[in-house]
Amino acid sequence: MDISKPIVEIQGLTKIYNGSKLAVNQMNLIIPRGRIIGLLGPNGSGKTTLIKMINGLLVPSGGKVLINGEPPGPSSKAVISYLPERTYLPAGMKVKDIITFFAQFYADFSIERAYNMLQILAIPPAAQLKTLSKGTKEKIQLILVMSRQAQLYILDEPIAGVDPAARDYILHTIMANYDHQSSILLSTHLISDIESILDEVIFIRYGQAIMHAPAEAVRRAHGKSVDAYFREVFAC
Amino acid sequence: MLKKLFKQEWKSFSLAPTITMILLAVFTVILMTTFMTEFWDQSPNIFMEMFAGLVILAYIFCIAAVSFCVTLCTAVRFYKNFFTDEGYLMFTLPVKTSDLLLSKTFVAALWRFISIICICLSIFGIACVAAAYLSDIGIVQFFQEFFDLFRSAFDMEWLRDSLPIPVSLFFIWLVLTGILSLFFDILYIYTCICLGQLFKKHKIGGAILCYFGLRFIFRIFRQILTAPLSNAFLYYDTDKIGAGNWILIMFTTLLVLGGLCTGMYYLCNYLMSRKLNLE
Repeated sequence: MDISKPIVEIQGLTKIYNGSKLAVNQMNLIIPRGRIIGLLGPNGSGKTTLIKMINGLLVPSGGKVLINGEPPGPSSKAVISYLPERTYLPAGMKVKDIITFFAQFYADFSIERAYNMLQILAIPPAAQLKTLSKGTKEKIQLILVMSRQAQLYILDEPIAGVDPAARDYILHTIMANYDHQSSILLSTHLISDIESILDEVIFIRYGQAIMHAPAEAVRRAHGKSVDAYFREVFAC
Repeated sequence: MLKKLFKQEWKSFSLAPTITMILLAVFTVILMTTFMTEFWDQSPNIFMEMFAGLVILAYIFCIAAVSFCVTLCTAVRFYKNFFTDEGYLMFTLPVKTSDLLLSKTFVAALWRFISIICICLSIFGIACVAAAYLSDIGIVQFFQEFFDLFRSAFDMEWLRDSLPIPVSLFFIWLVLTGILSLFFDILYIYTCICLGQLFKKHKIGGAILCYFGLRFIFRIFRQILTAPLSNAFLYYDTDKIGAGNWILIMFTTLLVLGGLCTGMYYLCNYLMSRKLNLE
């Protein structure tokens, strides 16, 4: 691994659904190391499609994604910790089973850290996943993702479906558990809640990255918060 | 990683087939006990006969359930693990797609094999008890006749007279064909599910369509391939087919079956890694 190189390089990336719907259009992007980056855009702008292609869950129609210089595969999956926007936990498992499962497959997974977070959130390890609420399952997924010492955390809408108190806890969990050598790519349209933790922002519209700049530079250049600038750029 | 995947898949797959097998064991024991205690003969009347019929029907249902359950688990687990939300978990594991596919295939094949053994043992157990208690021959004579029959099947002279090829070669061919058929059935289901994913809408419907469509194509293909063989068996003595042709037939069967299994495996692997589009 060459740490002088960016963790993700995206070159001319395109995704067309069903032969006609253009979701990501000739996108070029570089995600550096050691930064917290907000992937910001309105609904349907291509954020989730881009994230899925980085994770190898969607096959690009054109262009390429390189993680540590390699296309998505077992080696990239070993260094990316991904929180999707949906619940993927198998219903038949117990909380402790899914923790053991992650520990078996990810060399960078810390069981101790996972159990600590479970204890803080008062989630019983012996609970069956199918008996838990959607919000609790989302918290468990966040625990699983943040219990890894990954090089890149990709969090797709981590605060979208939770109450404000839980949002604070989630943001605290992210900040407290990530390694500062790593990067976080955080997709959301609830910018005001996360603006304070962002180092850089990427604005996405119609499947293209229209802006990639440090958050502080955006605030200085436009004399307003990233949230206010976002509202101005994406005004309907 | 393959070992870990295999272990995990084995754990997750086991529940439903184990339950049906326990159910089969329970019904086997019930039937054996009723034969041993001559329960049906104690007060024979129409209700007793109906009850006996129902118990036997339930037993037959159990046998079907064991076989059906393994097939259903094979299809459902493959679809659910890879092409629903659970796919987000499975396809982000740091493992090769081929390992995911291999672990699923081997566990399903092993469970299919276990289910066949369980069904055979159950039927054999009931046959033993029925022979001992319901017929005149008795358990000792039953075993004697059974082992005689078994021995005669392996009797070199008898087989040597019937087959123009070495008997051991014939048995090796039988075992290999059985193993390949086991994998063929599983990979066939996986291929149909993967092909169903290429449909824009109604992906499950697409998989079912592929299942019947491919079956039809394979049937025609088999008909064409086996026509000369059927004619040879129908119009000539098996002796006159000759050792060379026997070996050719056996080799072709294995080659076709093995080729189809390999082809389906690579097709699934290709579709899962190069055409994956999790919604």
